[in-house]
Amino acid sequence: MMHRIPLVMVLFGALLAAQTPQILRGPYLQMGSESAVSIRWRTDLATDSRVWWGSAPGSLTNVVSDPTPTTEHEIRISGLMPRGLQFYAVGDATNGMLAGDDAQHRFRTMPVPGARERLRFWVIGDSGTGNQDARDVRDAFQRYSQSVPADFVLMLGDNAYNDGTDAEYQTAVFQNMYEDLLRQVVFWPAYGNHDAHSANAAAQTGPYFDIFSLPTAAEIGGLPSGTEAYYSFDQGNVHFVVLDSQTSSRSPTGAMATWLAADLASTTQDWVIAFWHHPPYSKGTHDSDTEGQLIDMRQNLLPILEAGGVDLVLGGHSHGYERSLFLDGHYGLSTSFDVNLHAKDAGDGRLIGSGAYRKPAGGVAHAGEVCVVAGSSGKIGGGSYDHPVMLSSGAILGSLIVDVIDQQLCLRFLDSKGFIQDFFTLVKDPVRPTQMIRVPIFYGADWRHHDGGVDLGTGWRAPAFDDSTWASGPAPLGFGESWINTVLPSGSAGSKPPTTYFRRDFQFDGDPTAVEVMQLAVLYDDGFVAYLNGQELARSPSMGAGAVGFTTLAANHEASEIELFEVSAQSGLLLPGRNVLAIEVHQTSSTSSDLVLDAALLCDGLDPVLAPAAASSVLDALGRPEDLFRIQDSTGGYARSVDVGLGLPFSFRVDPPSLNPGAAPFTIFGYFGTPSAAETMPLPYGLGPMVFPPAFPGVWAPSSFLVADNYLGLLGAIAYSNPAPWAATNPGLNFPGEFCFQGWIATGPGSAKVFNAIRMRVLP
Amino acid sequence: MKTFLVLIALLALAPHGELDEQIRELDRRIAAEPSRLDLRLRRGELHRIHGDARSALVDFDFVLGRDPDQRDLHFFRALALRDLDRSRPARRELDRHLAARPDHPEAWRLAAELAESAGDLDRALRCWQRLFALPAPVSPDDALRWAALARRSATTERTRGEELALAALERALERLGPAVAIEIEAARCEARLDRLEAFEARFARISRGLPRRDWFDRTRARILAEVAAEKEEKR
Repeated sequence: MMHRIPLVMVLFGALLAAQTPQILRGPYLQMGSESAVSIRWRTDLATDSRVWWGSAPGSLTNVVSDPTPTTEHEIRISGLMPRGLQFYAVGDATNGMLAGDDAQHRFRTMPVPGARERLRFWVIGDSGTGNQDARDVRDAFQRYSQSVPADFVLMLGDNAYNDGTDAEYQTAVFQNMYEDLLRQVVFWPAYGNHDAHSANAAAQTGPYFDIFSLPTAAEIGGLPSGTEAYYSFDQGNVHFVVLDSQTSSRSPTGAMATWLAADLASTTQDWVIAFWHHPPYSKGTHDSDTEGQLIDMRQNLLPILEAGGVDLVLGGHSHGYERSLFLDGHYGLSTSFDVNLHAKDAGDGRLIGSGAYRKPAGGVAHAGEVCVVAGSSGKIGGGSYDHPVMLSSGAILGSLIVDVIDQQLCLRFLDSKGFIQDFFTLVKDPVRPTQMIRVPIFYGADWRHHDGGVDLGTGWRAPAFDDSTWASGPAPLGFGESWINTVLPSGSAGSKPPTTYFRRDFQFDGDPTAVEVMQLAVLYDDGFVAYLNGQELARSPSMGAGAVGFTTLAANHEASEIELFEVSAQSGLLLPGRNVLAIEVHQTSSTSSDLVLDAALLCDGLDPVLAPAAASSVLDALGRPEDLFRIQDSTGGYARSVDVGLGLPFSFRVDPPSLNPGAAPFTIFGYFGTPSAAETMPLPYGLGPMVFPPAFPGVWAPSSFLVADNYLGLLGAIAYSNPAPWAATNPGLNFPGEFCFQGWIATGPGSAKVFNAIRMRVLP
Repeated sequence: MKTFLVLIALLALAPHGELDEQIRELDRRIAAEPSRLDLRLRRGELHRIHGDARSALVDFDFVLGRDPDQRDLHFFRALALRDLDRSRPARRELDRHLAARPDHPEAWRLAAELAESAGDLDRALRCWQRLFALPAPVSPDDALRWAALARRSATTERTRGEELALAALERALERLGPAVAIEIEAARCEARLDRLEAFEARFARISRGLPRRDWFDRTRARILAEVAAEKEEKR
């Protein structure tokens, strides 16, 4: 007998069957390493979990599944190649892919631990407001990092205000905030006091611990902490330590301190970076002289970190930016700080200032670190901002962008409008730091100006234009404002010329092709068009988009604040050596009461290595170039450059190729100065290219000389060499100068290859 | 279990300005919805965190008068009473809470703390055992506190105390995996118990494969020296 089923029920059943789960959160990445990553997402309905991945959208040929029905999905995919780009999608067996299989759902695995590849990470602190301030900080970072995106992100705690609830995490992190980044890079968090409102570190319960998957058993390097409240991990050649300054015991004999000491003592990474929420030094919205957690971290944990060779300490909690000198051994109150005792380097750490901070390579204890408070990624607050260890302090919204390039670290504080407010470089001896941030024109610079009311056409923009008859003076230039440094004559004229011309020559001492970010910052009234080497670089919105001539008037614009113009796309206009920035400033009318111009130009980017030929032609078993040659135990970092002291001994070392581990004959040549790219010389017999022509006896370039040689049984010019492994010490050079060294080595019977080049500068 | 939201909120050191603001906000909400007992509970806990356990108790007692079965009420009262140094009634409140919620790890932590401060070390030990028997996560700090208590609990019988401490640490290692801080403490117990073979094996295991083991060598030597000094002192 057939039963009639009401139509409503049929429709309801069909509806249920057809119900597709919706993704409520994610997907987002966690626990990234050189070979694995966890992908997490949340759905409204409990389903099984499935991730598809592959080398391109549309061909996600690999699948990992978990049949357990859940709304909190987590799949770990492993067996990936280091630095490999993968695309992915998430979903379940029944409904297939719910999200992904497009260009936005992708990730790149990390370098193998220890690999000295460039790493960039973004650091946000106290970001959890979920408001426009946090979005402005995010947007400024994304604009700045367009050409070099972050490999991962550090969160310094208080990631979701006010109580770290799951709903607050949704609005402060996952929705309309960092979701695009979370799909592509791993966020590594620290536990803040506001996260602790809804979570419990002792029990590892609550939203913070539910949302983040963190290593407890040294899954990504380090030693097992046994808890997600504090942990460590390796990325490239950096060892990261994340501490819990909120709940876990901060006693010097507590579990965290014991683990920390063991963990630091076990790492061989080039860099140690520690972060936690409550900073050791602050006079921002929190005071490290009076608040327990800050005092404990400074007195009990910082000594362990310094003994373990920490390089950089990051904290939040105070809602501002504070950056220290290069410190060691200051554990007391701010009043006890003695710059002579506690500052390893009291300079600014800038290559364009007092020079980079330097410390020995190899995790040497108490060699100095920089402490940074960056708790202003979501809001700012008051305070005296006058802690004596700090070089730079202020209540400024922003975040940190940190690059680690081999033996060099460069940190920038980027404000929410996109301005670099502070930066420094830290380098491991003997590597010579690579210039990254250059400010070829700074505020207050001298400009030549012409306000004679004459139409100069377009020729004045050209670098070759003769402006020697123009007057010059320091910016701000103009009239009608009390703070003008150089008052222009036209200010007192009855009828103001519609256009005033400005020019400034500047030298660019780097490689323009290496510029990754170029910014023009301008204080102006009323409108401007800027030209770099004769080509338009930027113009103010008040000038409109059309053609601009001498009589073109600007819309009204007051010089109330410096405005930033991102001109990275035009960095190709930059030339090595002399450049000219020409700016025409336009008035709103001939009766305008004021005119203002000041400007700065900032370039950020790595100087290139010596030359492509500086890389070793000797390959290891995996086909990777193998650096065999060292000066002062260093290959010279990214720039392949080392500094040695005048008259001080320095060492050479040559190791045998891993595929020819016996005594390998080798030859080293030297070169006076730094060879240009044009001097790169391909060598015969498959030896590979060298950055300079080797002075093989009586045959090649006079600029080079033989240093050590036993390849053909010849006696070296400096020391007789034995086959590699080989080391020798030079007693030192008594004249400043620059040299370059490179050579070749036997890679097997009857075969030889050129090994890595190193520049060496003898510094007075 | 993991998603259970515990409002014990270890935010005692949150800036008081923020707490004041939150309490004022709750004042407004309670005035608008006086029957919302959950808001009273929350405000009470914020008062307690603010260091005002008396005001906290006023809120908790208000809830007690209307719904004594309100979830975690007795736990919150126990915390407030503890803060007022009224440990006996705090323990009674906690007993009531644990009778209803024996799976609440925070309550077992608090029970262990209260028992220890009352000198009832056996009960404190049982509380730690109960905590570590729960499936809820535990921390390395928990393990070290448990072991320290175990050592103290048998002061007249030194070996027995070390045995208990070692057992606690081994249990913690089962739960937490090879957490270094616990391994080191367990090794210290083994040295005190003259189980040098186990001591050496443990150090060999935890430092196996590490690129640098000098810290472990130094720590091993330091523990042996400390234990030798302790024994010398006893003699």
